[in-house]
Amino acid sequence: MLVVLSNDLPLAVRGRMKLWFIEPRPNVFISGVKDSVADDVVKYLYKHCSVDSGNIIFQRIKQPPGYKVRGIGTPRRELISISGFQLIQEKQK
Amino acid sequence: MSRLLVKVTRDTLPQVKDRYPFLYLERGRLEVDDSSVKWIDCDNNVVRLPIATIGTLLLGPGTTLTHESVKVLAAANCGVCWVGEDSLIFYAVGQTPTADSRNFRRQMELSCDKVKAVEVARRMFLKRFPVVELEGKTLKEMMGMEGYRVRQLYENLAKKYGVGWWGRSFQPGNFAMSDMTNKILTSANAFLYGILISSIYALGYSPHIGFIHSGSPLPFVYDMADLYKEQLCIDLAFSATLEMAGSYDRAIIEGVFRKRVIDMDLLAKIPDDIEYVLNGGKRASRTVE
Repeated sequence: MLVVLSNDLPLAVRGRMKLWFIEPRPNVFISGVKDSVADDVVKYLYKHCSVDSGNIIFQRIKQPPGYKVRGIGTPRRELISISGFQLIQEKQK
Repeated sequence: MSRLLVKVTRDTLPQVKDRYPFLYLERGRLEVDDSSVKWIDCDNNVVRLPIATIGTLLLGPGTTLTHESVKVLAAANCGVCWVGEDSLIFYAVGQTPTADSRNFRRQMELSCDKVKAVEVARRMFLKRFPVVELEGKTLKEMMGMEGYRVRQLYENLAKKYGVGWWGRSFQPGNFAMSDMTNKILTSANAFLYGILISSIYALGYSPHIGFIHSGSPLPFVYDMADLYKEQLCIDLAFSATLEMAGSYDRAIIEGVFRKRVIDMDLLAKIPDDIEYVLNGGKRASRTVE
């Protein structure tokens, strides 16, 4: 399963995304593709999306913790890894 | 403002086998806000931890935690262990109360019956050395056979990976004096003990009641650890010795160890293996007086 949240996708990419994804809300894409296809879709997104698109990609994986998060662009919250577990880091106010 | 309290029930918690094995945290503070546990590191960064999906938190030096965070961790059945820094020596564990004591009771019954206890020990040895004839052997004889085989295993792996080996030496409190292979072995063993202790507690067994080891503080943990040490710790220690190039790096060892734990699906194996060694694979049934 793949979930993609984006800020601004190039129109051509957005159109192509609809091959795999439904878009229940603007810039929220959901797909139930299998792992092997998901990897190819993610590669396609990396190839065709600029840093401005601000994509964050969630992919379901078989091993714990069950998800993988990747980003294109600079996210507001930093994605870090503690002992190999992907977590989100915020600054203390 | 009142705190949001979400009641954690057992049916909403993932099973031990589906959890992420462990997170190692050091130099920071565990706190709670809005029922979730947050980790504040020494640079004031905040990381919220999905503790219900994590098996154990290994807390290294410089960590503090609040009373409330322990409460929430216990409710989510997330184990807490206190470990050392480089050597990852295991200091202590916080015991999570489990739902019932059926498994512990069964473990005690088997341990108190001399004949059944040797049968359990035999099944433990059989899991490691399936081709060896152990029928009718006493515990002492089986332990002697095991010692010889483990020494041979060390020598074979030393030859395989081209590493010098002068025998296992473990000096508590003097990690730095060991050779590289021994250092890695000590660290990997401590990791494994942490995972096993939290799993054993989470499954309702006791780490204090062993069948092969005795007299030590955590005999059942050492019994179970022996089932996985060859693949997880010993092979890793010899294969990683040359990569370290003379300078011990905890982060590399932790990474390689964790990869092996996930690849072999250790957390899924532990409950099945305990079931097998204690009951020969049959599910323990509730005993009615």
